[in-house]
Amino acid sequence: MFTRLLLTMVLLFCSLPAMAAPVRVYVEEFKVTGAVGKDDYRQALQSLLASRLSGENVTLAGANEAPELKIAGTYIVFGKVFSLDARVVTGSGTFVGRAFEQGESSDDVIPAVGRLADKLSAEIAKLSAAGPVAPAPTPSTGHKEVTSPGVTVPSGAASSIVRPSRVETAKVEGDIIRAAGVTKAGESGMIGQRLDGVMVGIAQLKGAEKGKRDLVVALERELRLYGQDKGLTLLATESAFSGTEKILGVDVADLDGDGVEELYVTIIQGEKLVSRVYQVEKGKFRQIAVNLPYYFRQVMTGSGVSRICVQQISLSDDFYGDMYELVKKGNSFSTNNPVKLPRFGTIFNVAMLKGKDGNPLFVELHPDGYLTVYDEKGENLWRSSDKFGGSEAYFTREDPQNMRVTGSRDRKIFLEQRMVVTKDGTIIVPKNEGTFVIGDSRSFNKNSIYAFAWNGATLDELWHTKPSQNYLSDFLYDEGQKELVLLEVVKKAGIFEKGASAIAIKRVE
Amino acid sequence: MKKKLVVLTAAAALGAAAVPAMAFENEFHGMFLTQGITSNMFTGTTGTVAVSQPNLDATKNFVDQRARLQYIAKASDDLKLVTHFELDGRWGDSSYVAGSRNAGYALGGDSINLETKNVYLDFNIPGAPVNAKVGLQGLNDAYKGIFVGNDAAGALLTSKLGAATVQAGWFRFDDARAAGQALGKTTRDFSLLDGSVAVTKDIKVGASYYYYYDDNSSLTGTATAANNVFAGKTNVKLNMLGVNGSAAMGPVNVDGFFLYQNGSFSGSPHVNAFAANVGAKVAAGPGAVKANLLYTSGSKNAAGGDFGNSFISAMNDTSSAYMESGIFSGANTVLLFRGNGYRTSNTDQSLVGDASNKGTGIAAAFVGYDGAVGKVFFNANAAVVANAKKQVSGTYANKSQFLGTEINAEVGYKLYDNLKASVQGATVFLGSAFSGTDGANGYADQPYLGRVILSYTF
Repeated sequence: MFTRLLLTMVLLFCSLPAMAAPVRVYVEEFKVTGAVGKDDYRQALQSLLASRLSGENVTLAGANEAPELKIAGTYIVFGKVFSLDARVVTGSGTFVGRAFEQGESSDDVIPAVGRLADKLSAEIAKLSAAGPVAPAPTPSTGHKEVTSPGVTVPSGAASSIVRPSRVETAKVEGDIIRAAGVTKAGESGMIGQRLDGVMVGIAQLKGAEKGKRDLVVALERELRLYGQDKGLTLLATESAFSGTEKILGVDVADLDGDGVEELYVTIIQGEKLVSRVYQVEKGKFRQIAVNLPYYFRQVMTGSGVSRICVQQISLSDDFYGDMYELVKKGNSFSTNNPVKLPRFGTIFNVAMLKGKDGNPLFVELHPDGYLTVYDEKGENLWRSSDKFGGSEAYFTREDPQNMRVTGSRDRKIFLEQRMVVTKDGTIIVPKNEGTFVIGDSRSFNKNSIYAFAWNGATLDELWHTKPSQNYLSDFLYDEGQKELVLLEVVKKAGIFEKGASAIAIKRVE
Repeated sequence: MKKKLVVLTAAAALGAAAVPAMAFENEFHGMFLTQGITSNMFTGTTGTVAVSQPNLDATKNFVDQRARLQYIAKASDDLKLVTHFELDGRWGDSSYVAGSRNAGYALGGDSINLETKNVYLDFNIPGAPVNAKVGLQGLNDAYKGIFVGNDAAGALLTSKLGAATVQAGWFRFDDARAAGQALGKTTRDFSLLDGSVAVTKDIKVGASYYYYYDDNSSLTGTATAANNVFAGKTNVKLNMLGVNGSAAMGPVNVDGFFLYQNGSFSGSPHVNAFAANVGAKVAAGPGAVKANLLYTSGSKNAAGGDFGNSFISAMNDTSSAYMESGIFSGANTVLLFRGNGYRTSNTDQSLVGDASNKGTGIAAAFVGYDGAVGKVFFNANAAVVANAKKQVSGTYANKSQFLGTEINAEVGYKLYDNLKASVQGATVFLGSAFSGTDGANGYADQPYLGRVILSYTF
């Protein structure tokens, strides 16, 4: 790669003249389609166009000279209507620009050639004003045809300008446009505040002033409320959790629509779910329900509205039965609207979005890490080639019968990263990577966030953030402010160390 | 050459037809355990230890280790090959050994000692809600391993239909190992049909039919014959019917089973035996209290070849490692009775080897507390074990049935998510069944064990 770049730069330096001069242009014979007397037209049109190219910036090159620009023209006739098209390329073949003219009879051909010449002259003048143009390599230089990284290369420090030039080019050429978006998404950066402990979940409370946030983060046995402005301010903590309880996640919703949001905290104790619901009142956590036998997760349910969904654990199944929507009435909770999950689906690895036909689709992080799309009947529609997701969060269940095989009295059940579906149907999926992720041993150390849109057949990538050198334990997307709020573990817990976390903000434009 | 090409073409076509177009996944799991042991009972090998003063009067100190590596080749969600290998031995045992398991840990190492635990194909049958596992695989009965919990070669079909799960399988435990025997003629086979229903998320019930056929008379007179109460017998036919269930009620989980055996073998009266268990787990403080009662029926003259009422476990006939079958996963003992909970490596030994207890049966009660606070984990257990039937012959002739009481405890620390270090101690207060094991009325020394364990799993 480096060699190629070096060669390109050397070629560019060699090709740059010492000072600006008129551009040598060569007009090739026209290609003619649909006209009677094709051979006559080829050279006639070549000659007409060459003589009409004007201006101080243009000199005509002969057939045996090395031109800086070449113009290839076509003359196409359909019935009485004709079209004159011209394509401008550099001597080395790089596309520069094009122009066309059309007319309704052969009487209009010569005026049309004039108009076409004016357009091309204007284009050439722009190029000339921007700087010298690389000529075609001549045989005597011994240079091979090398793909030029850019057309308009001002004199001077070529190496520092080529890169942005290429990026700018990329911006207007389809898929690569979002490469610029990637850069922008990484601009906001991390809040430089080290937070004690390994955090496992994050959620946002509404109601903060514009530009600020109230964030609830969960550790294994603690909840913290932070106010986020330019930094993070600890507002409240809740640590009334026993040594046998383990927080698996936290979500926020105002289920009963009373204007007061609830915190849904998934907690497991041994092999039983003892989840809780809190509210934040006057800056403090207040329990409103305990010992709920549910996993909680905020899931888009296909109706464009995200709900708190629940699933249960049973004696033999880690994730038992269907996923349900949680209903809150007063301080009591019930479930309705069961959703049958696709194969391998659990409450922690699925999101729902609407297909092109309006029917719901399931997006699932497959146990092997592949992003998989199912229709509502469970048919597998698509699967990614790359792996996504990846979480170090787990709970354990006793497995005495397999102790003989595994050497462990317990087995681990890993959770998955949340996926967020925005109002416009964009699905945001995290990706953790690590060098030591084997079997039940997981240690991720790099993450990035990807966004996709369902095009009816596949998930198209829209953008992704540049990799961050930390394990992502959870994230949220603030759709109002168009910002990703990432909860990252910056130091893993050690034998005697608690570890540390940090929050990164990334703007999505 | 042409034949080879045809075979290759056919294999390629089969592969192409069987494998959907998607990434091939490599999945690895494994474990490593090493322990330093001091004990007057463990001898650095496996098998039961007969209670006698010569066997218990010296303290043995040694270190052993075991590693297991599991590689799973996933062709798709519906097809995978599972392989599982083991390397273990005792530090200083031998080196430069060719083709010897559990060896190669003396100076120089370099031994050929890789063991194959499992090699099987795991696939879903197209168009049917049936999973098949075919090959050498882990086999667990639905009765906490009381009949079989071991590796076995066979085929197992599993179908999940709503809340119900049905399993049907056939396994070949042994086949004609003596010279001159025709393959498939003198075999030991096991067939199973298990069904279970999750009535609610907190209640599950199951029922089983097992058929065990043993015509392996070739074992007569071999060194390991004594391990199998039916060794040397022909046409052993056992029909088994069982029920099992489990339920969760608030902080309490209860489970239990009843497994009935009925059958016959040559030159013996009808076999009429059973095993029963009730277990409970109650969450308390930072852990849970666990209790299990186990009874397996026995015959009064087991040493004399009477197995009419002896509950039979499917033991391993081919080596002294027969303790790997017929264990009971609810046992919390280290020395008295080998359970699954504290299995470590190939040097585990016990006074009672399996649930059949060589035909005498056992009556046992286990209770313990298992907990964790942060990264510290701990457990403390007690158990009493007795012969189910008073014996009229053999080692226990006309003696008390009471074999002894074990207490053990372990405390450990999770160094990392997957790495644990712990220390464990255990001792057995010998019961009156062992009176006279050191002189006319004396008891042999009290068995004990202390060990430091380092365990890594992934």
